[in-house]
Amino acid sequence: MKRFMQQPYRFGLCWTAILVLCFGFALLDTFVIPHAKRLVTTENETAGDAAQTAQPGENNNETGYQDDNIEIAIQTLRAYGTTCYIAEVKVSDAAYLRTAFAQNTYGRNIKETTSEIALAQNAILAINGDYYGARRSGYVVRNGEIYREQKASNETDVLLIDREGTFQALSDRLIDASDLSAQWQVLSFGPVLIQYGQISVGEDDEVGQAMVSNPRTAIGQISQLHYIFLVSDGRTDESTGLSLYQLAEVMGKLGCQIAYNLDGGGSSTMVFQGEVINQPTTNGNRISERAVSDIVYIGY
Amino acid sequence: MYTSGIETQMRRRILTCLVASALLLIASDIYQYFGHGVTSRMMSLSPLVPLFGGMLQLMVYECTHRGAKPTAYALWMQNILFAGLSAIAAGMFLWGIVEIAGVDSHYPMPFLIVGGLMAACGSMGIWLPMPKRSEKGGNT
Repeated sequence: MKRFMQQPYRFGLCWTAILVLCFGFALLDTFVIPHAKRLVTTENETAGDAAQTAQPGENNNETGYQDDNIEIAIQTLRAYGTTCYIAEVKVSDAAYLRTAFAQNTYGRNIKETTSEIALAQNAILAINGDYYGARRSGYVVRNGEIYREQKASNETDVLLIDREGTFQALSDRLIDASDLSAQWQVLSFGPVLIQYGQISVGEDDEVGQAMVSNPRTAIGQISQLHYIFLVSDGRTDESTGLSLYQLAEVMGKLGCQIAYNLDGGGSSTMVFQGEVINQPTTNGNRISERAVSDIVYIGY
Repeated sequence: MYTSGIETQMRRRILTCLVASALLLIASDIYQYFGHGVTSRMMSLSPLVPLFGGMLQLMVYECTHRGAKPTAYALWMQNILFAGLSAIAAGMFLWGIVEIAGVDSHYPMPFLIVGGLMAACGSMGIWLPMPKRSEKGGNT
């Protein structure tokens, strides 16, 4: 072995091979290899005696849906050179504001497109969620079930949705794990865009280190059981995208008293009655959905 | 007689460090160009590792040990130093990939820790004289 290694370049070649293998494994395990941790059981998520499938709606068309419990109105608007898709949602019970995991499985690198997850859940309206699967920490509470009780490694704004459907946004450092059991949904991405009707992001604030306009996804509350789901396009010639501050301005003009930023970029997708209605793109050259780990949706 | 061979070998190693730095610089620029405005300081700094950790150290070593034939021990320590520096650079690049993607990963840290330890051992081995073995026998 010693004699083998003493030959010119052999040590270097062996070490390079080891390094390349380790680097490759690290990339595969981080981005590709699925780690399923818990399969979701539907018994835990039913909203009491609510029906398991969507009720036949009245006045259903490509811009709206209405039945006894759910009312959705879709509109598009242009803001800052960007097309925004807005769903104004009114529900009779918070149980119809639901979330779902890709492949109905909680874990890492478990992904499906927003439309696939929405189809599996029979969602009437769906947007991409907080992409919890990209992180090893951060609270995850979905449909009343606690999946992760660990705070995010960096201080993060979380959105708490209680069982009455009331939104509350605050730093995860102010929440104990014991507070989670009372919540219907907890999303960990952020930041909070609007708090008590006022914009709470600065003009230079950004998610992570992104410094340009991007496709965005946001959720907000106007009043009790009255919500706004917003997805904006970006990275294309038609839509440059929004900064966080611009996103907050749009949500404010729509009447949100509280609004929260969700995962954006190539993840931003809105699905309404089985159809993707925005232009999701990762690189601006091709319109296609990105696989995500979870969605927020309206349905039964 | 040894001098030209040693100098050639040393220059080859210095050139290798330079090329590695250049390749890391190009790779990090290209990767961050496609990052939609997201950048990583760790990735941007990775080209400095072979530059300052490797090339600069070798140049100082050559100046202070000009003409002297490096021992097998010194050559081994240089190998370990380079191995450590390459692991550190790989770890920093991986950190940047993870940072730009916005995900969590615990993998970059082992690269940095192992690389740091190896680079430290290699550096110490190059600069600190190897302890001499005591002579056997020697009646007074």
